Amino acid sequence: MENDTLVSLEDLGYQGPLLEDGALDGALSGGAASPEFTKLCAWISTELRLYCQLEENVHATNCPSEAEAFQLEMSGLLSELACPYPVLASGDITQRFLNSTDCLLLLTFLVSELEASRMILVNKPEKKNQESGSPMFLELKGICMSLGMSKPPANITMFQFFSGIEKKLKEAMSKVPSHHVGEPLMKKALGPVHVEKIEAINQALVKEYEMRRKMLLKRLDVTVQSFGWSDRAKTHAEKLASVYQPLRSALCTKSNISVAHLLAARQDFSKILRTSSGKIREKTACAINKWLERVPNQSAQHCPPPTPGSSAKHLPSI
Amino acid sequence: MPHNQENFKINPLCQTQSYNDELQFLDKIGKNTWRIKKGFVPNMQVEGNFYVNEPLEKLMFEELRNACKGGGFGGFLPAMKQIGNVAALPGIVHRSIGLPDVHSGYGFAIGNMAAFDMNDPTSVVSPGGVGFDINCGVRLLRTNLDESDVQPVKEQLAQALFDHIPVGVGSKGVIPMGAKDLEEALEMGVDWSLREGYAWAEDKEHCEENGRMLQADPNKVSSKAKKRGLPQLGTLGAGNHYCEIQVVEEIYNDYAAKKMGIDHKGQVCVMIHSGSRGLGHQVATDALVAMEKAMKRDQIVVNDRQLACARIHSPEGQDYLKAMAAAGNYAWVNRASMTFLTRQAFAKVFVTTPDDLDMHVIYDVSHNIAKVEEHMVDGRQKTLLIHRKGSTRAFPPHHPPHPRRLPAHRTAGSDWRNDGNLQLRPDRHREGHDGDLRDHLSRSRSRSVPGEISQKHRLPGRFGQTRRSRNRHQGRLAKTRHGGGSRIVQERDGRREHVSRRRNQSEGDQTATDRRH
Repeated sequence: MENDTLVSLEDLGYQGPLLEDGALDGALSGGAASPEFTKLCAWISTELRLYCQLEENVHATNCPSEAEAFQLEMSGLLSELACPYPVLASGDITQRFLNSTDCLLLLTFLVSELEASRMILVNKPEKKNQESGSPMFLELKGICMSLGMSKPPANITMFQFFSGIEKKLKEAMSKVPSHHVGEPLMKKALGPVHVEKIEAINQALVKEYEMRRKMLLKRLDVTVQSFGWSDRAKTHAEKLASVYQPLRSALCTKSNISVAHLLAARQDFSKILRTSSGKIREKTACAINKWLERVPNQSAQHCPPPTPGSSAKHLPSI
Repeated sequence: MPHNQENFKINPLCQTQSYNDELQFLDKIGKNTWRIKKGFVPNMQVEGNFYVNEPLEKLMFEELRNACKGGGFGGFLPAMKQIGNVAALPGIVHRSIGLPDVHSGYGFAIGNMAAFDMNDPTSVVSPGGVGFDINCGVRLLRTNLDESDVQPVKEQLAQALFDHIPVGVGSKGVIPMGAKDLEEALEMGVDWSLREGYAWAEDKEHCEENGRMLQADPNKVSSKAKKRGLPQLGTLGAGNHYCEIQVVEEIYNDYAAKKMGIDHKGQVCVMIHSGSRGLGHQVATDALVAMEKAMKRDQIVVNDRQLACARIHSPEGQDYLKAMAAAGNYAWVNRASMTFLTRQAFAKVFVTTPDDLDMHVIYDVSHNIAKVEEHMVDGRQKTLLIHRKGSTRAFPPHHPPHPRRLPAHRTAGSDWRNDGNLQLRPDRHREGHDGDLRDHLSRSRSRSVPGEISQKHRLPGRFGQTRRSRNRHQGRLAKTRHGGGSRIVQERDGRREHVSRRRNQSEGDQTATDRRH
C-alpha cells in the first residue's frame, strides 16, 4: 500500500523528502504530530485547490504541539471533499490521524482525489469559446453531452427526443447508488393551471426578493464606502478598489430562480443551513475578535473556568 | 367599571367636562382593550385604543380622575388625554395607540404609537412622538456561561462592568473619540464601530437597520448637540438605563430561541438599555424650537403646545428626520461601544476572549424612533411614517421592506473613476419626497471609496418584541430573571401574572396590534 502511495505521489509531481526510504513510514506513524506528514498533506491540499473550488486549506505544522490545529483543518477539508471513510471523517477530532493505518488511508484518499481532479481537467477541459445558439439549445446540447448521447437527427420530434433523454437518464441513475440523486422536493404532478399559478407566485417572489437584494447590496456598498473614508484606508484605496470591484460586479440584483429550479430541487434542499452557525461564523472570525491571549490563571483567588457551550473551536494562535 | 360620581367642576386640564362626561367617550371593547371615541378631545381625526391589564387600568383611570379634579402631572396631561390629542394630529391613520404601561410624556404619551400617511400632504412629524432620548433601545447579548459560572464571581463581574462602562448623568466615556470620529459615527452608525474594531461583523446582522439609518445627515445636527454627544460615547446614562446580567428562566419556544442563540435555561445573558444621551436630547429640543416657529406659517393647529410638529415634507420636517436618523446612529454606536466594553469586562473576569465566550448580539431594537414603513390599511398597502415612543416594533418574518428607502440605484461599474475611486453623483432618479432623501453631493467632500472586507449581510430578523417597560425589558422568547431587584410582571397569553410594586409592563397580544399598523 505504501509503495503504491509513493508511486502515485511521484507521478503527481511530489518531490519532497518523504520519497526517501523509510521516511514515509516515520511520518505516517507520527501522523498529525509529525511536521513532515502535515507538510505532505499541505502540499496535496494546495494542489487540490488548483483544480477544485475549495474553501478549506491545510497548513503544515512546525512541531508536534500544533497537531490539533492540523486535525481541525484536515477535518474541515475532508468534510468539504465528502470523504466517505468514517474513521477519518467522524468521531472525536482530537483522535484523528494519529496512527499509521489511519494516516495511510488519509493519504490514499487525498492522492486519489488529486488524481481524479487532474483527470477530469484533462478529459473535459473548460471551453473558453462562446457557443452560438439560444440558451435553450445550449441547455439541451449540454444535457446530451453529459448523458453521452449522440447528436439527435434533425427530424426528431420533441416527444421522441425527450423520451430518449429520459431513457438515458434512467440508465445513468441505475449505475449510481439509490440515494445519490435523492427524491424530488416537489412531489405533486403539475397541470397547466398549476404551472400558471406557480409562475405568478414566482414572479411575485422574484420581485420581492429583488428589492431585498437591492437593499442588501446598497448596505454592502455603504459599509465598504465607510471603510474607505478612514485615513488608514486612503493609502490602500487602489488596492482595495481592485479587490472589491470584481467581487461587487459579480453580485447582481436580479434573481434567476424559475419554476425549473423548483422542479429540479431535491430533498437535501430542505436542510436549512443556518446563516450564522458555528462553522460559518468561524469564517468571519478575525484578529480583531481576539483581543486577549489565553492567560493561565495566576491569582490565588481562583476564577472558575468558562464552560464553552459549543464543541470544536478554533484555538487562538499564540 | 365602578367609578364614583364626581361633581361638576371646571378645570383647565379637562375643559368643562366632568369625570363622568369623560367616561362617555371611553369603551371597553375587550378584556385588555379600551376605545377612545372621537370627541374625547377636540378635533380627533381617528379613534384611540389603549391596552391595559387590571392594575394598569386602575392607574390610568385614577390619573384621569385626578386630572379632572385639578391635579397635574408635572406639566403633562393624563396619558389618555394625550392619546386623544395625538389622534387629532393631521394625517394620522387608523388609530392612536397606547401600548401597555402607557404613561404621560412630553406631548405624546410614552407607549403612544401613531402612524401618518406619507402621501397626505398635511401629515406631520413630531419630535414628541419619538421622545427626547432618540433611539433609546435595548440590546441583548448572549454568552455560553451558566448561572453557576457567574454566581461565584458576580461581585467581580459587576465591578468590572462598572470599571468599563461609566454610568450616571453627564458621565464621560472611555472610548476615545474626536470631532471627526463623531461626524463619521453620526453618518455611519455601527459601520464606524466595525471599522474601528469595536464591533463584530455579525453584530450588524442582528441589529435593527443594521445599526445604521441611511438617511442620516450629520449636518442637520447642531454643534451644541455634537458638543454634548462627543464626550458621552460608551456611557450608559441615567434614569431607567441599565446594563444588566440576566439568567434565562424559561424558554417558550425552543426552536426559535435556539435559532437566536438561547439554548438552555440558566444561560447567562447581558442586556443593555441605553440611547443617544445628550445628543439625542439636544436634537429633539432643537427640532421642537424650529417647528414651533413654522407651525404658524404652515397653519398647523394642535391641542397641546407640546405636540409641536411640522409637515413631513417641509424643510423642518425633513431636517428633523435626518437629524433624528443621525442621533439614532449615535445611539447604535453607543450600544455597540458598550457591547465592546461588556465583552472586555467579561473576558477580563473569566480570563478568556469574548469570542470564546460566544458573546454575540441576539437582538438590538429601538423603542424611540420614527420610521417610514409599508403597511396594509383597510386592505390597501400604504407608506406610513410611524412614530414609536416607548414602543417596540414587532414585524413578522418577511415583512416587505420600504422600497423607496434606497437612494437612487447606481451600478457599481459606471461610478468608478479611472483612478479606482468612487465618483459620487447626484441622485437623478429620486422618486419624490419620502422622508428618506439623501443628498449625496453635499456630503461627498472628495471621499474615495472602497473597502477591504466584503461581508455577508442578511436582513435582520424581526423578533417578536414587547414594548419596554419603565424599568425592565422582556424578550418574548425567553423570560429572564435578575439576581435581586423588584420582580417583573410577566404575562404570557394572559395565563400568568404577578404585579410588581411599580407600574410595569405586561406582554401578550399587544405586539399583534403593533403589527396591524
